Amino acid sequence: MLEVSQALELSFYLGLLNYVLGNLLLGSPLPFPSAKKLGIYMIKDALAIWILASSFTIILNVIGYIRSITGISWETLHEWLSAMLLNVLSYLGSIKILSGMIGNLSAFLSPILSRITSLLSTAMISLIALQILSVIISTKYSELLAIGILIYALPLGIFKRAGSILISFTLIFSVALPAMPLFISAIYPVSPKMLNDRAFPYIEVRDLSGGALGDALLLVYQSSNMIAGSEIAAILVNDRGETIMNETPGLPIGGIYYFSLEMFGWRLYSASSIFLGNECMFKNCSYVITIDGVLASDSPYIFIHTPPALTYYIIYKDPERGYMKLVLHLASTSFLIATVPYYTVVTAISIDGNQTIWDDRRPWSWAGIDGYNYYKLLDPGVHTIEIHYMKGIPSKPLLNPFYRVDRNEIKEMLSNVIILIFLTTVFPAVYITLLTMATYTLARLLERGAR
Amino acid sequence: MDLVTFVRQLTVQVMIIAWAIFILTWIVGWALRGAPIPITRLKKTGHSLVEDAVWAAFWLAMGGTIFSLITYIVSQIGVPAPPPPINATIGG
Repeated sequence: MLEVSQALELSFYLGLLNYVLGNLLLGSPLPFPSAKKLGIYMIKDALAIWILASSFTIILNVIGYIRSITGISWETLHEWLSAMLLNVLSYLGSIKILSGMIGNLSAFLSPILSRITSLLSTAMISLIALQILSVIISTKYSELLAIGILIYALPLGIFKRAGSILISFTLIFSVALPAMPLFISAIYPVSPKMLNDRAFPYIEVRDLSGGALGDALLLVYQSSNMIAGSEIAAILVNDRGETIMNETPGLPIGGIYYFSLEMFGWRLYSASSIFLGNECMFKNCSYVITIDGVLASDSPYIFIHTPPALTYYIIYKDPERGYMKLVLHLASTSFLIATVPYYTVVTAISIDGNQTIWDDRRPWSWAGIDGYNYYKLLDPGVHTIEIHYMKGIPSKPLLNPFYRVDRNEIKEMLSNVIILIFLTTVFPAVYITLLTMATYTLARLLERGAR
Repeated sequence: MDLVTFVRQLTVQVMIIAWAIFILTWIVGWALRGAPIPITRLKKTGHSLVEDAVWAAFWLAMGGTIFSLITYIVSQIGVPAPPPPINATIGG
């Protein structure tokens, strides 16, 4: 591998070789004027090579100086590129989900959406190419410059054009490429952060005592009164109690959200709410939602409802053995309700150490799963309840997630996507073309050298 | 043998050849100029050969000087650029 200093030293000596060869041609007894002219050219080339090779550090300093005067840095470009890439990726996800949602309904929209998906992929490829280019130039520009000078210095001026193109490419791109976000914001003055206003927060669903509640639907509301039918989305929750957000179009930024959980035929409300700030677009915001209606659970086998008159509680769980011990303090008479699906069998319940039986048992059927709700009336006071149960093989509920997407929102999203495609493919292409033209002009100047 | 030493040796060899060729050209040039041939064009060729050879020898001899001159000038310019002005207010 050729080092920068080695390349420069080599170009000095190649310049000297050029010079001596030029003198040889000039001083030779050849009666051809063209040979003598070539000799003079080579002497002049040698001067240009020496100037270029010895002003290497000056060139680097000047590049750094111009960059610091104009306040352009590679970080700006890298930030811009990664913000754009994030936008493109989130739109790709949204469009994919959107086409999955409305593909069956509208044969008219789905080809448009697939076209847009392919355009977004193009935008992504162009962004990645720009990223690679910027990384190469920002880390290797001194090497590129040295290699350019070395190629420029090859004798007889064979590769002078290639060398001068490499030199001017390095100069122009290392000064002007980081200014691309400025150029694009001058043409289209919208910050890329404003384009996509949806976030994909990480949400965990827990019961009152902290156990995960899974294999359920999380209903999302925009108002705190949570009227049935006003849900903006129903999101799947996996068996570890985590919402599967990446299969949804995301939640709009800047809103407060309220939740309820649909599980085993119950709709259980949560007092938790989350606020999605702007920062959630760039980093992963994570939240834990407590479903207050569930006191304890061994999801997806059993869950115990919170009695309304509960004042304090102690819970001991042993999911391996199928055992749960609850110490409850009740202010008034209330029902203890246990909900179990068909694959769980409650073998025994004892209250304050006495084996007992449930007062009532009512069947339920929800999402292709059947089961029972068990009821036991409890007097006020402190009770110790022990429940033993046997676990079978759980079956997955057949849940239908849905997302209410506004028609205007779709329109706005499509127009944003088109702007994004322009910002990430057409404008950079125009800018790179301008830079390439500048590169060629400078290369021609350099190629002429001292001639 | 590394590339730099190879190029240096090549340069030295070419320089020796260039000096030899200069002497050859000079002799040929004078021979043509001084020959008792009554053709003006031939004499002119001889004259231009001598002239070119003298220039080549001059530049060959001056090569090191030119080289060090360029290096000197560039090193004089090459002091690092001053930092850009910063809009700062003093006091407070």
